[in-house]
Amino acid sequence: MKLFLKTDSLFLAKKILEEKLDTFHIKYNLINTNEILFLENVDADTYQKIASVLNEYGFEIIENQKNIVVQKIKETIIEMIFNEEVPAVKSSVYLAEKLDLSYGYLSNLFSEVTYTSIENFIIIQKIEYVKKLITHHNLTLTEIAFKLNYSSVAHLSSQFKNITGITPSAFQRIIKKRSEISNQKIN
Amino acid sequence: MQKDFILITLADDDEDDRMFFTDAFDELKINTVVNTVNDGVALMDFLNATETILPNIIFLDLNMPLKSGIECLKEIKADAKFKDIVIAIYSTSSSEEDIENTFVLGANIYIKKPSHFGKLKEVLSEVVTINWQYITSGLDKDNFLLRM
Amino acid sequence: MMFKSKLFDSIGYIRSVFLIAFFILIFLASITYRHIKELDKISDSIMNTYEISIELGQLISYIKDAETGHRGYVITNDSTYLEPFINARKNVNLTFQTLNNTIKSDSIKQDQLMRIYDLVDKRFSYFKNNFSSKKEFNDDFKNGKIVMDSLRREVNNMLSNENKLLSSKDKLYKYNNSNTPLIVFSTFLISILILGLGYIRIIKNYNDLINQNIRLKIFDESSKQAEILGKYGSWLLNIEDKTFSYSDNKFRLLGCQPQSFQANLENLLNFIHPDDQEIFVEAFQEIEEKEFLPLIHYRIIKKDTLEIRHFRTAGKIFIDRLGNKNIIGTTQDITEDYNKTQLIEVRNKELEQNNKELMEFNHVASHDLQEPLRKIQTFISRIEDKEKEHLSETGKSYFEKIQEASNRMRILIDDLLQYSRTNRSEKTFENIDLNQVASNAISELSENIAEKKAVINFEKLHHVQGIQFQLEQLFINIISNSLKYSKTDEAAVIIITSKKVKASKTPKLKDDSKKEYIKITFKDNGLGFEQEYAEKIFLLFNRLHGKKEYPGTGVGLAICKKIVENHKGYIFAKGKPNAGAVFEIYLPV
Repeated sequence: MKLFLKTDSLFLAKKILEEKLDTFHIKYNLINTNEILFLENVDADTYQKIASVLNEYGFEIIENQKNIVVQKIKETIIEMIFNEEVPAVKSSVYLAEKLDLSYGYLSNLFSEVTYTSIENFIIIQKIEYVKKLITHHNLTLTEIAFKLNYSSVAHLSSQFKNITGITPSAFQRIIKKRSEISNQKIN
Repeated sequence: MQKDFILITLADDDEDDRMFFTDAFDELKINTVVNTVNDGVALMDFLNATETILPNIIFLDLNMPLKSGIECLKEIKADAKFKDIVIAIYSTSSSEEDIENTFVLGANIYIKKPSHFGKLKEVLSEVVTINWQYITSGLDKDNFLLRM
Repeated sequence: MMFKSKLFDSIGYIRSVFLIAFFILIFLASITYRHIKELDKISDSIMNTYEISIELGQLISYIKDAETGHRGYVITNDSTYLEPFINARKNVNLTFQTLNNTIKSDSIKQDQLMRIYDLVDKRFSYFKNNFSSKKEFNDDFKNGKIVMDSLRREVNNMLSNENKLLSSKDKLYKYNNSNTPLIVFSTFLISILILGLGYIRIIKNYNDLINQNIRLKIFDESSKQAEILGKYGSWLLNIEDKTFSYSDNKFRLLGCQPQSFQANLENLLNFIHPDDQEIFVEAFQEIEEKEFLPLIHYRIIKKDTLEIRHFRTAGKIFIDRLGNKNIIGTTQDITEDYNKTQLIEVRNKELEQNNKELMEFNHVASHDLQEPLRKIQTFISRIEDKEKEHLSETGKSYFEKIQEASNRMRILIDDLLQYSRTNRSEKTFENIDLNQVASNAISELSENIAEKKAVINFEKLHHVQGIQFQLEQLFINIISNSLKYSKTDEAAVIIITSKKVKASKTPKLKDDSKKEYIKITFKDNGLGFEQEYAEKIFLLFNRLHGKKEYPGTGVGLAICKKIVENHKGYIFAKGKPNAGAVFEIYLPV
């Protein structure tokens, strides 16, 4: 039998954080899944313990301020792309506005930390979204191109191919055949 | 825990190719630890050994004696232990259908062995970089497909 | 069978002709008989009348004799004059007898005769010898004369009656039979006519039959020859009584003398190969219900040479005029053909095997050649990076030559590999959208396209049955060819269109059938080529330019042709120097 799940990762993260943090009996405020405000002082030992427990669940404590900003940039970008309600504005404008920092600064910082540019990251994320739409939502390329504001399917195809090395139609084929195989295995 | 270096395993029966591979990584400025095995059986033995730390990426040649790359691919994908490993097929030219077939069987990356050393370095560097981006961006590994 | 029915009609015709003639003859005969009978009667009557006339004449004469005699005696008293008188009486009696006989039963005539007889008697009563007185003598003569006159009158009456009777009979006869000669004659003519027609028809039929017979004989002969030449024999099976009749050659096919044994199923089975006997018997058992014998193949062992021959038999039902059901069949000795076919099949298998091996070899060779070449090139690049500066000038230039040569080899092997792949792939066709194929091809060549600033247009291309990868390769090769040979001063523009065409309306396809094709047209504005090379460019390794001018192996378009052939289509090229090229590909729908 096959079950399809929709994962609410934010909910999941929140639940785990709360569960684990509760065990330390320290008052805290969970601002979102990325920020914890401890209302009490935390000593080095406890800090290590908290860090290691959180690590077990894939939570990394970001030491660096720069990393924080970069993380924020990434999140904003992801939100911009994956959130359908966000109006189609230039990403540079959107980022600068959302994070209240100049785009030039953001751009440099991002490249320094991640070794790639924001534009590149945006493209990667977009293509990732395209893949998601192909895999899970079975949209046609035309629909996807429209949804993501590509000027044409050809434009989408060429960008997709640039990033992944294969055409979106090939990708579709592969995903389809993969699911056929896994269906056969179940049967 | 931020991993400091990336663990890479190459399975290739050709001595020269192994040499090119390790030399390329030596010259690249990425933090990598590379180990090589000589055929499919050796690869599976390595992966299944209890003391082994599983690699982040396996580069898999297709034409190997004893056990072919395709067989290894199938075995690796079938084992839940190895689900986090990114598999890159590293092979001489194949037909389009064969290439697509490796993706269908679960490979993440297909690399056609370049015939220029400089190109090899480029390719390997890009693979590692993209892979790292994938990991750090929390992207869906199942959809990670890359062809070089 | 047309002739037969004609013949049938002929027989009916002839029968009726003869029947009519027969009846006419009967009719004729009866008329003639009647006529003759009448004639007989008349002549009898005439004879009758004639006799009566004579006799009556005689009678008068005798009586005159008697009178004369009497008168003579009376005059002379000489008894010699009494002689006729006495004779007369005798004769008169005789005459009466005769007359009686002649008259027979005619009552009227008898009455008349009676009256005459009475008168005669009366006359004779007046022949006295002695007369007592002269008065008696005068009275006697007078009465005698009166009686004689009455007698004469009476006789004349009778005679005239007879004549009247005769003439009335004659009239009647004439009245009845006046037409007879005419009727007889015309009937005679008609029957002659009819007989004549009948005769003509008979002769004609006879001739036809003779001709038919000759033809049949010829046909029979040539049939026999044909059977011998074609190595077949014919047979006839009467379904009801299960009897066979075989043509001569059927016997010969079995290795026997013609008609040398009784043709039946049992005897035939003796010749049939034991393994095939069952099939044979079964087929023949089903003949009655199926009413035909489907083509069956079996082996026989020839009687004279004991060799195994392959036979093929079939039969069809034929119902003859009498409603008998027969199967007419033919048996052919197909041993030679069978053997040849076997041989051909074996050869075919060998050839297929050979072909497969060659293709495998081609593929493996191209594939395996890649490995060492790649190593060479990689090591070349290593040397270039690290060691090249340690080489002398000559060394460096030699090294560059090595590089160039290996690059060239790389391209060649890639192309050869591609070529061998187009043969190897499984030929499972799917419904392919050419628009998809075009965009994929353009994606593949995106770098090259961007570099040449080329514009490729296509719209609303059709769907075809084909192999995705091969069609993509096809598009890639043609587009890349157009890009390669584009003008240096003009941006390349390639237009791809498709339309449906009918095979019969497209003469260059040389296909008259109702098949439909999708015609895909690639038009570019590049350097073009001389039309006389239009077919050569598709040949393997054929190039129109030296390798220094344009890189290339001459394999690309050959691959296109192979792919098109795999899809059972056609490819044509049209070119004009400096006026671009047009590639037309026809793929069956």
